[in-house]
Amino acid sequence: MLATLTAIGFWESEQFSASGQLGPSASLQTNSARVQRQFEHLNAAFRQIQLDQNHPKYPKPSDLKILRSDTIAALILCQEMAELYQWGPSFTENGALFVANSNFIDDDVLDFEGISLAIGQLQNAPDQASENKLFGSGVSPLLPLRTLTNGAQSFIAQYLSFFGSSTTYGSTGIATVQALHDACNFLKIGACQKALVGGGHFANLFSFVNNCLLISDTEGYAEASATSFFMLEPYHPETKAPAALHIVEHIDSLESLSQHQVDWLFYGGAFTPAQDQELHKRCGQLDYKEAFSWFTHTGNLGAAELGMLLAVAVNWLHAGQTAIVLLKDAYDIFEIIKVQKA
Amino acid sequence: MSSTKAYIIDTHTISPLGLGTSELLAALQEKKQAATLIEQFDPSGLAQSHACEVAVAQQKWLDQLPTEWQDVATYDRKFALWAIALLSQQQMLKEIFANTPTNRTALFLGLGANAFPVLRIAKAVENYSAFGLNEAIAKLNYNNGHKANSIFNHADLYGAYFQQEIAEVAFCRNLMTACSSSTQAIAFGAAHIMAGQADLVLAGGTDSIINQFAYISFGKLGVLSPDQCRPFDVGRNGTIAGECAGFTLLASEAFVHKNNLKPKAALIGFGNSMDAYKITAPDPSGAGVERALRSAIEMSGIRAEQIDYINAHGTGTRSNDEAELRAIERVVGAAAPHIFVSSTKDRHGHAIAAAGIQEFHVLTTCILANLIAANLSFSNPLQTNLQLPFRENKTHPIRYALTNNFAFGGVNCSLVLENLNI
Repeated sequence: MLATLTAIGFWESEQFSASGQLGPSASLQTNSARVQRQFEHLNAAFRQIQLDQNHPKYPKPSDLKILRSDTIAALILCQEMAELYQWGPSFTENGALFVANSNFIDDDVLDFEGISLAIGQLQNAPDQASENKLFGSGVSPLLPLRTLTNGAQSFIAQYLSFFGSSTTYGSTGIATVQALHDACNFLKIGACQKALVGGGHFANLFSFVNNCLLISDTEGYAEASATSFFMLEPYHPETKAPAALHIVEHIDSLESLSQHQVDWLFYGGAFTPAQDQELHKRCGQLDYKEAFSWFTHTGNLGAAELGMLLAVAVNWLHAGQTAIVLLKDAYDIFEIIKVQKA
Repeated sequence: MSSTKAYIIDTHTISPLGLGTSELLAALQEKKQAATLIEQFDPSGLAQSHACEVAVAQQKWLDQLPTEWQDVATYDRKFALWAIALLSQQQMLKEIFANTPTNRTALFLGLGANAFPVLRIAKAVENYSAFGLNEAIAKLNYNNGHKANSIFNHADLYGAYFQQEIAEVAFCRNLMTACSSSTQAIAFGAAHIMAGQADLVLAGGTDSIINQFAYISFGKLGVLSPDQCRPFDVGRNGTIAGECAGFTLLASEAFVHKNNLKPKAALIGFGNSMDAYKITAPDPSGAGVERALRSAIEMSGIRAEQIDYINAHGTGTRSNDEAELRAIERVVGAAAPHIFVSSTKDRHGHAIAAAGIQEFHVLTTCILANLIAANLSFSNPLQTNLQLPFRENKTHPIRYALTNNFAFGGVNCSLVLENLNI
């Protein structure tokens, strides 16, 4: 499937850009000292987005209670993009929004400390009624809202006055590819004229513990909060957009890489060191300039990874070079997206 | 090849109204209301104590589960229900998927927030710190059996079970938009067929909020009724918790012809919209709901007055019902007196992420039986010129029907169905 890529923006701990160009470096901000201490023995890091509360597009104080840091970043990014690219009613009324979220557990300190404190006292509860009461005191009434997963989607709609079709995908980091695929379906059947696709990742204890277990390797491993979004429109051969995406059906081996003659391969996702070696060996055979892992560079960006990889590929397209973006999910499925001139 | 319709081959659920279509139809005709005192946990001391629980004998099904999945079923009710929905139709499912090329299939699931096995964790964790809790959840994800221990993200559990035990599919999506999750799963599954990307899609979902964790937090949010769910009634004071799991099989025109099938209904349009109002409250004007309805009707190519029956979201909460009713009135205009509207949530409860598949099954069942399900809990209905059947079911042919689901955060989804037998 083909789609035209008309805008891209991303934000991770060191970079913020609404135009898809890599921005200037900012200092890396880690999570609280308490969190750091708990993971010292794992030799890992959290990278958080540094939010400027004085940013003109920072959310209203009344919304902050149920906003996660990556959602705030997504909100600011989407507002900046809407202004820069002048989306207007063609997006807010006839567009669609596809949001991927690779993790849904909210701020563990805020939500789970209350619950775990309550659980800690459960054994002292004399009867079921007191246990329910105790348990109730630990459960925030906002918990359904915070964990009902579609928070980013709803806040983006609210802040952009977006009225169109929208959904949220939950899976591993590959959820963004699923969002991208459905966006292409919607463009193809005319269910929307523009499709904003993107996602966020929130580095927290839960995602970290889960991911460390997944790759069984904590050496130098980092979890990074990030967000990225890109706009797609139906593909027309005569379009003047910066790039077109060719979404290749997903595959379960790297064999079909040889069908695509490109200059660069940018990849992300859960590659084990052995798979990483195999990939580099194949790329050597295929004469690619380089296979570059964004994951190794920044740590796990979850659902924000695809947008970051596309932004890098688009940068190289400006320099006249083509690229493949390759994502691998936790279940050994590869997704190939070819970035080419529109 | 693209289709303009997604043909409905079969729909199946396990819900408080029974297992499968025949039990559901009997329950609808007998005007069964499933609410009882909660059995899954002791609700002593809580402001609410009732819910619509699945009463089907589950153990005989769960005993059929491979050992590695049985453990998951003990702590994740959503998984247990999902597994029973599939097990009870597994022969049909295996056959139909075996006869379809894998790359022309897909799974679209509507899911809710993770099923936190809180009390299980409480027993497993010695040090009740925030870190301990997270670590325990993560470890449970990895130590729940042999095959299941490769599940990385809890949301992927349900699709993984299908792929390991029923059939491989090209991919699986998890849509997570709270109360509109499985409605959207059906809509997006249909879009996948309409775009020519698949011939066979299994769309559905599973959810249950009948556990201490979710039930108490929903209670604190103030959306649960202390006595009874009364959709579209002036005296409505909240919804009632429910649970459901199930699926519908959607197919392309090419698939239907190739397999010489005679589907009785088809999904001919869907509409999604965002309220863009406030994440914590729906737009009281119902403008977002109206947009979803209009866009679904426009896509289906019919006129609003051709609709015979609307299975409304009708949660029985103060904020939803009035806005939904007024939005429907605006969309159907002068045709209102000819259009039946009811909510069946007072019968089966609100299954949250599975509300979509629950009510989709209710609707397909009603369509095939010419049945208009009444609003059973009426005492003082809201004023409207729409037909709100008062406590008594009606027999009426349904050519076109519509079902609505709306979610926290202002996510609205409507589906339009066509009866192919008329």
